[in-house]
Amino acid sequence: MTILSPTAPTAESEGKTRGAPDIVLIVAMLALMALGVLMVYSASRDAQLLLTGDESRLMTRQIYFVLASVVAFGVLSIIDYREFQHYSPLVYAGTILLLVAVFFQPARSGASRWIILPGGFQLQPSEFAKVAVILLLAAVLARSDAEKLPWRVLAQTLAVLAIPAMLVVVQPDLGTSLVFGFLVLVILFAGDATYRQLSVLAALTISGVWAIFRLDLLQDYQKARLTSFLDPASDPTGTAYNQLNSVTTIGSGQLFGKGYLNGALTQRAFVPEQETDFIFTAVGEQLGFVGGALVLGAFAVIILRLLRIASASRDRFGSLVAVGVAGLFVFHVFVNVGMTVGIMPVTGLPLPFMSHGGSSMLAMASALGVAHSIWLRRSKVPGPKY
Amino acid sequence: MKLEVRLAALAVAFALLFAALLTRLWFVQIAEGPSHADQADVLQTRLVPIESARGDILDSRGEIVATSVRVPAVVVNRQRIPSEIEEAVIQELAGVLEESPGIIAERFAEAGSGSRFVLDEVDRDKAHFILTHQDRFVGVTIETVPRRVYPYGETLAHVLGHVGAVSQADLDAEPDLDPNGTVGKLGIERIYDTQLRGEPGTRFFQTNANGSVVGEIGEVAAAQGDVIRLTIDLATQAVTEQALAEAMDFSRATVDDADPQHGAVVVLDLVTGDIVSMASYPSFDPSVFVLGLSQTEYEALRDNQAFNNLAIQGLYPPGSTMKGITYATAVEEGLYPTRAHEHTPEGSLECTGLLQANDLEETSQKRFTDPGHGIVDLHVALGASCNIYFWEVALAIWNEHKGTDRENILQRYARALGLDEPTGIDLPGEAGGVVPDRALFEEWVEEAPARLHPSRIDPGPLWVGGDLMNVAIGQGETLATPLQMAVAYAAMVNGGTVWQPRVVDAIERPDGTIVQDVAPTAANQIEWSEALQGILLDDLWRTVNAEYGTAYRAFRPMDQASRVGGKTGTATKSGALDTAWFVGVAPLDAPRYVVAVVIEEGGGGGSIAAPVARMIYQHLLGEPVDPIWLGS
Repeated sequence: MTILSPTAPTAESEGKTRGAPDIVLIVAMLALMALGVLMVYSASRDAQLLLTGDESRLMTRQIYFVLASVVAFGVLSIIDYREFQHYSPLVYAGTILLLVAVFFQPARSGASRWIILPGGFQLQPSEFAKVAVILLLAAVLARSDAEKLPWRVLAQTLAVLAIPAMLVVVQPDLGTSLVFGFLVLVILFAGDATYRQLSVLAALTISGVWAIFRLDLLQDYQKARLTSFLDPASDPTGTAYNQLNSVTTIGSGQLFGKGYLNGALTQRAFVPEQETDFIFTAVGEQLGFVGGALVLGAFAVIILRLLRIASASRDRFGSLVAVGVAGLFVFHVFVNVGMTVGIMPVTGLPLPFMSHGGSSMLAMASALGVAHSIWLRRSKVPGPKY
Repeated sequence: MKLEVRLAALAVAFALLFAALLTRLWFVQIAEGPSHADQADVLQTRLVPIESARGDILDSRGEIVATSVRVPAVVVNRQRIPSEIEEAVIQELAGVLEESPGIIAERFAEAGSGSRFVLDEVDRDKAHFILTHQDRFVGVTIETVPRRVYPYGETLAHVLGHVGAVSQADLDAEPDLDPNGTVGKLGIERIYDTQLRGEPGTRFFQTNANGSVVGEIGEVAAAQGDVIRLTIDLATQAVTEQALAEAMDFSRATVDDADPQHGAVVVLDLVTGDIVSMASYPSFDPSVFVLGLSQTEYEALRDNQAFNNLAIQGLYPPGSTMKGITYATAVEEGLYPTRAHEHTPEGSLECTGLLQANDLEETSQKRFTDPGHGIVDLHVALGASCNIYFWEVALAIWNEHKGTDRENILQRYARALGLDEPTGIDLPGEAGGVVPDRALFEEWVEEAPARLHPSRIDPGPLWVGGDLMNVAIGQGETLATPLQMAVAYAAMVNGGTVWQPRVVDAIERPDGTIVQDVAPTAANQIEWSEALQGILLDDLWRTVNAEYGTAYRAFRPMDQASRVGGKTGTATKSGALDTAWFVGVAPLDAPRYVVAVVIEEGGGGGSIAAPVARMIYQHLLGEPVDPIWLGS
């Protein structure tokens, strides 16, 4: 467990209630944000020049999002995370209200996921709901410190999960609702659920998926995405075509890529949503395997630091929140990058810190900020533990 | 389980997921990277063929008779027209092109969905309008496309042929053709299509995912087609066509019952085998195939044989022009009629207009309508075109050789001179003609009994002396093209060279370097006796210059008529006016040009065909061309 072991307490940390900030975590986050800004520019400038005459438009917006996110990260690092243990039901209730509110907003591309804000911005509440669910789940589980997790608590966690998951499914946004399932599994695993409970959960998940297909709850396009993922040749011009183009685009980058701003395919709309969901294709094409591996490496660093925070946390709530945030990152990175390289179906999950979009960036930075707050307050009194 | 253990288990699980991503990334970018890179190039590159400019066609003096110019044209790219506005775009196009929307829609349908095709050529104003109203003409652009131009209109149309849109049949024969391009359909344009066409170029464009061009990568320039230099002399061609057309008009206007519709002329250089001019009536303007031709217009032209080059495709009984060949056979084989009367010298006979053949039935004697030429020998017989005399030649062969292998001696000379099969001229669609003999009739009994009168098969006999007599005067089943007769006469007066005639002298690159120099080719070489060479030109002279000559009157307007020889022909055709023939040779002092003229249902060869030759010879011998005047 050396990799997770925190550094031994030093003389400097003696007597402090707050530890030193996690510079590695912050650097990894800022590096991804900065690269994201550059890639958004590269992927969007040609289209933006045509559409609005301002090739930097999306990059400028992305810079605003980065600045706001860095502020959120800082503020949440400073706020004691234990406040959230008390207020998590409120945060949760607030996001549920917002999730309900989207249904009163005009739909875009056949889906109601956004709340229109002034200034041409939109809020996507489901991004924040992920963080709220992590907080509430951690709070619910933190109350029981028993060796074995009571079934009653398990039922509560499922209830916490169920409400936003259902609201997101009907938006419809299948990808995001799957995030909730993954988060619950990860947090319950870390929160001492028994194998039997986990087995029941797995069985529930499988029957849930079966029900979704069986009861025809999926929209046609969602079914098409799934079936075309399993058999890309069945749909050479639709979703699968986009995904094939994405794989081709990334593959054509080879070892070192074609060079920044030389992404012939990502810059010319061969890949759909190349500045948002498919931003990783821009990385793959222009920066090659080396660039792609570095991006994955940066995410790996963040996830490992989150697990270290979980291990170092002074209390169970903090541990579970950090594990939840780590799960959030793992799921997003795996599903998003997996989609662009053709091993996962097409879902609308953004790549954290890089995909163009404010809600995701802000939510992810907030989640990381709460986790960082846990790190800063990992030990009440520096002692044997830390 | 302790938290650390659970976290470690999660770390392992997460690491496996990341390892899966990294492995996949390695596979996509490194293992399959090069093939993805190739595929990426294909995705973002569009190839647009550049039609090469078709090579020029020049006459023997370098005058351009067919060329290509670049003209603005409306190019439709259906891929770029959203289907919901296609109807509106068609309406707009119909408006600016002054065409019905139905016809435009039909062109769209023909070209196929997602296709890119040249809709129509436009003038500068319309091009400008389309370019300045691109919001109304989505997916429509103006490009310059090569257009075939024939500066002399109908002149030389049958030799030049024409170009047309690539058809399914063309594609089947040559799958590499640009389906939106043009291809030679007739004449020189067709048989030298590959050389004239050149190599199409390719323009490489970078595109985005919608197929919209975002930049040009470069191009492989189209290579202009080769230049074809003809043996045709445009000035002679013009006179030839004019003389033929004038004769047809004049005949219609002045001769009762005469309504000739078809005619053809060949002028052959007997020294080189070059075609100096070649005309077929009626003609067409090859440009109509470029500019558009309605189905009705096309059918009217086709039904009137306007697209047929009658000089090489028209099969006619050669009539008395065949007597030149019978004459040569008689001299070479020593078959002068020997039935001397008391008052006629040896080698002569008295022509009373009746055939005095004891073994023919009485009735058959009445068929023959020669006026009675009096005492005729071989020389007078040719000049006066005496049927009786040449029948006697046929009978001499028949009586001596019938049933043997030598009964075909006349046909053998005819075939040696190029009759009975195509001459091999470098033009498409040439006909071969017929020189009948016993073997042919036997073949017809088996394969085409309808071509024979039933009495020949039952009771027979199949092949009789009368048939050979018909061959001797170019009647019966005998058929030849004007070109074949020209080649045969050339070989009789040029020392025996039977030319494979040619209309193409050379193929050159646009810069003038020779790709292929088409050498004169002899199909056969005949060794004539000195006796024939000594008398044939003199006897051909008689036709034009002796007072009894059948073309005497026709050539009176010509100052140098004495330098011209020839043979008329008037082939009877049941139920219609005779087919008029004239085959001439000039100048007699140094034979150079054979002129063969046929006018279908034109009447007498001396009266209508010889005057056409007279006009052409006036031009060839450098004197002013007098207008048409009937030779009777």
